[in-house]
Amino acid sequence: MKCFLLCFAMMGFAVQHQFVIAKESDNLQASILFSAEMQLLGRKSDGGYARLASVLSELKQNDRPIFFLFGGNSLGPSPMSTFDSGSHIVDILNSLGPDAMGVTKREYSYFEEQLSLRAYEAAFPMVATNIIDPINMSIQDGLVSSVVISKGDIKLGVLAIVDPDAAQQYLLQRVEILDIKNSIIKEAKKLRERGANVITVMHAKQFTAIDDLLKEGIIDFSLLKDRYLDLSDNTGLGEFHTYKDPRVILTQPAEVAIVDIFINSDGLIDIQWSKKSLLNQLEDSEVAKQRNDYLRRLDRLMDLPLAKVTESFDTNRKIVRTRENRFGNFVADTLLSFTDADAALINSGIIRGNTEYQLGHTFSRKDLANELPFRTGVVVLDISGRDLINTIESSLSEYELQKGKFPHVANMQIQFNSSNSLGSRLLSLKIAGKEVVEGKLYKLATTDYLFSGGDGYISLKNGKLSKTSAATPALLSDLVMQKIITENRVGSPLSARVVNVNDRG
Amino acid sequence: MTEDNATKQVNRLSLNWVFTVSLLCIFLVFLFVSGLAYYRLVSVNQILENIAQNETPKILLFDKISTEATSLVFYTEQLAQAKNPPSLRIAQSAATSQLNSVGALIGRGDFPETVLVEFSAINAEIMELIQLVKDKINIESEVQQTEQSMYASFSDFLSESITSDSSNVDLKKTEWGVSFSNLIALSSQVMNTNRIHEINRTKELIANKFEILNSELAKKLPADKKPLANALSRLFKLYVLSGKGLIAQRIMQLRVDGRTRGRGEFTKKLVSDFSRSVGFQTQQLNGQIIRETERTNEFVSQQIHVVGLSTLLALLLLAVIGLILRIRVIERLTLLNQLVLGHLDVDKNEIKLQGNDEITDIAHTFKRFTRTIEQQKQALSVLAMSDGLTGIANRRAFDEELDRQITVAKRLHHPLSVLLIDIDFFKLYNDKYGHIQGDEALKSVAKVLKESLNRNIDFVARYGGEEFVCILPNTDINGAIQVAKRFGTAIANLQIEHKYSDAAPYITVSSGSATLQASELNLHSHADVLVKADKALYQAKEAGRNQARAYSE
Repeated sequence: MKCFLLCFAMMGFAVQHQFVIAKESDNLQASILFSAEMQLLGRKSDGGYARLASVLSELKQNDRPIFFLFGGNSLGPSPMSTFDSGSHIVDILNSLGPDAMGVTKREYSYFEEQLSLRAYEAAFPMVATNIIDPINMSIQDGLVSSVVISKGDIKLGVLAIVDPDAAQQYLLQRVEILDIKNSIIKEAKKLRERGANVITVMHAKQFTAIDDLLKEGIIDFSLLKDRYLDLSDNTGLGEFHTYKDPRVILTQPAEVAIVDIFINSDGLIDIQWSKKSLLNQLEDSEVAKQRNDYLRRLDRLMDLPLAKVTESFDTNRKIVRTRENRFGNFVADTLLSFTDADAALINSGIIRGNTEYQLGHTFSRKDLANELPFRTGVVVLDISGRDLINTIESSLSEYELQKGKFPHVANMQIQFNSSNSLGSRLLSLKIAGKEVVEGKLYKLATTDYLFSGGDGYISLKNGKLSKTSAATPALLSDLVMQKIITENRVGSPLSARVVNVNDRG
Repeated sequence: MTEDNATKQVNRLSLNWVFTVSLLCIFLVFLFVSGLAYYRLVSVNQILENIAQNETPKILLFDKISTEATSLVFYTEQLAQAKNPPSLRIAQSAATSQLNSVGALIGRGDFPETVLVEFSAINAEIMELIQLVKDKINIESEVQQTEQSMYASFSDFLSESITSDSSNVDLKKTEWGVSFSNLIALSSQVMNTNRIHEINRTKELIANKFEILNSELAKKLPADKKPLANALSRLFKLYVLSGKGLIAQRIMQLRVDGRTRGRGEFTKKLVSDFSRSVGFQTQQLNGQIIRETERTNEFVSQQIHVVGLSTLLALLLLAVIGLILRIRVIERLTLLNQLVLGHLDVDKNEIKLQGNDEITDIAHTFKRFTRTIEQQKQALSVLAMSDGLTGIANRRAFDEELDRQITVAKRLHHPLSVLLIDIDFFKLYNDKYGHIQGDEALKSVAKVLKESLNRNIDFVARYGGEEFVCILPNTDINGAIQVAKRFGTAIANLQIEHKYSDAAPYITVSSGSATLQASELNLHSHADVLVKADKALYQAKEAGRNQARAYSE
């Protein structure tokens, strides 16, 4: 069945897209350099902007026109962005001069207003095709729905898609996210009317809608970079995915794609793409200097040692989002330490480090900022047992997708079965060893993000701010830092706080 | 005595010990309670002192820093927004002076490393921000200058005054001129565009148009216009398209604006984080102080309870001691006093004095002394009642005995007889034989008289000098006479030589008896019977001595 579908898909592409294997007689018209997903200036494994700049200048030395498209997913979250909401990334990108940048959900890490400001600072257009400001029914201030870039014979129409999950995950209040398919169809039509002969869309997550649109010829190729995309369990990709496929997909951190656009003798447009690793490239000295300046400024603030790691722990995304974790426990314990709550609850999505910390490593403020780059505030709620049960139930709803809504708790004991159907995964919920009673009120320490219904924690909104909740919520990262310093440790032991009875591991 | 000592050692609860222990207890209790109170008060004082001298100033300091830091946020904003040198100077001076005062305040407190690092970063950031704002303002003025220079250069071309060169006016009307005017307009547009990519697009447009201007359009110009056109073209390239041109500068300006904003945001966040950090420390300290105060409160209440309880216990202990003293000492002393006062018979021991201590020692000693006194009293009594020379009862004893016998005789309805015995011619004996012999004779006579008594109830005493008296209860006249005769015989049998006696050559006695019947006994009987016995004795003396006479009416 799977095989049949694959063959059908391939045929579909071949037939409907007028897909022809490029021949030597075809004319290479232009190339597109595509990169994305570089939030951390200091992370060498990402390749970095300085190397990207040198790749770009190398390409520009060729005789054909080079388009440079940046797929976004970089303005946040990161320690530096905690302070300047991505301004430094825009500054560096300005030095590289992309023709356009795609907006993804992570561009909203510091909310809509900041993104608009970044758009004004940018020397390039920021594209978001399916975003709308519902008040004036037009694109969000500073952004554009699409852009046409002309180089040589190619008039490239550029679209970009924001994951609809962003509304819930990033608590968007001022913009609405529209349906992907319709937005693209509408905008692509406008682009064709403006004379675009090649249309592409940038995105940071796989969407079947995009596959459909490719098949239908609405768009010519797509550009995706997602380091968390697991190709092995994806039909339509994997061994059947070739460099002729109009879906350009990058899954390694330091990868960039070079997409060559051909016009064949019939005037039809084909693409062929390749991957390139940034890791072995030289750094552009100007951009490197810029980056180093920013790192220096960050380091002089962040290079403060906090505590030595006495027991190793791992904030790997998959681990943090599917099971109890030492760091997650520690953060939840922090909430409990600094409030008078009965229990504490956080979502794993605020832990972003994706790093393994070995025994003996000196955990610094920078490490902490990497782990907790969001400006999350701490609140204390009076919440009924019923709402709490509903909250935990919903937090387990996308377990298999490794979503950031997976909970970490303190003084709470959750037992669940991940293989049960949605809505019946929670088996038992206890606070301080006693089963939670529906009608009883509990004091829960949590984040302002979750209290606002972030990550689908809608039932938490039914809670009321406790009297002891501070008027100005303290920042969670501040409190965690205090705890690390005071107790001279990072990480709390695993104590069966969140137990998956289905777990064999 | 040894038995006494033995009992003394066993179960002894010496008063010395009781008092010592009691006083020691009182002393210790007092010491303990005052010590406790003192120590607790000192502790409370220390805590309060700590709060007043260390923590409160600390909180005030933290609070002040927090406030100052908040002001710093405002000044940082002012800096980032400064549009011209004067406003920059004002903002700069305000920000740096604020930094200095915060720095000074921080120096006064004991802050964790995080705060110090943050502050030093803030310092550096603000300095760099100031520099960046200076750059920004410089660039702004440069751009404006370039624009002005541009307009100045093209003013002739652009102006439509009557005095202008006609050639100029003609140039303007050509295709070249129109295009050139467009280019100038486009360039001004750049000044109003805030988006770099739009400027880039405009730049492309301008570049293309310029290209066409210089190639196609220039060719169409009449020869005399060409020099001017060339000159204008060159100026345009310089002021607009070159690296130092308007477009490049404008782009740079916008980038620096962006950087300034970015840095401004960074620094503002940094400062407000710092302010919040200090605020957090303040809150922690606040909480600490509140907790300490609460603890102190509890502590003080506790102390009040402890001291109160201790005082209560002490009072109780004092009461108990008082009670003990009362029971063991006061009451027993009172009892002893009563014993001593003789309200109770010491020998009979009707009420026992409990215990084995100094008080019972006193009681025992007193018992001994009273016994001694009793013995002495008896001895004395005996002495008081006996005649010193002869050893028999004396007159005092006789008087008492007579009174007693009168009472007895009256009660028993018995007759009572009294006999007065007088030694014949005793003064003569004393004179002739000497007093010492006289005393001997008296002693012998007394002895004989005493021995001659037949019954216990009979009583003989020395009445005076050489006179003796005898009481014979339940004896009538005849009986008395017989006793008298017996006395006389016994004394005569002594054969104590008395040459000078007229009655016999030895000592003899004369006696007179009187008898009262029970019915005759009354208050005056004592004197009465003696008077009668004396009359009877007188008769015996008158009748020649050495005989007995009985009284009769």
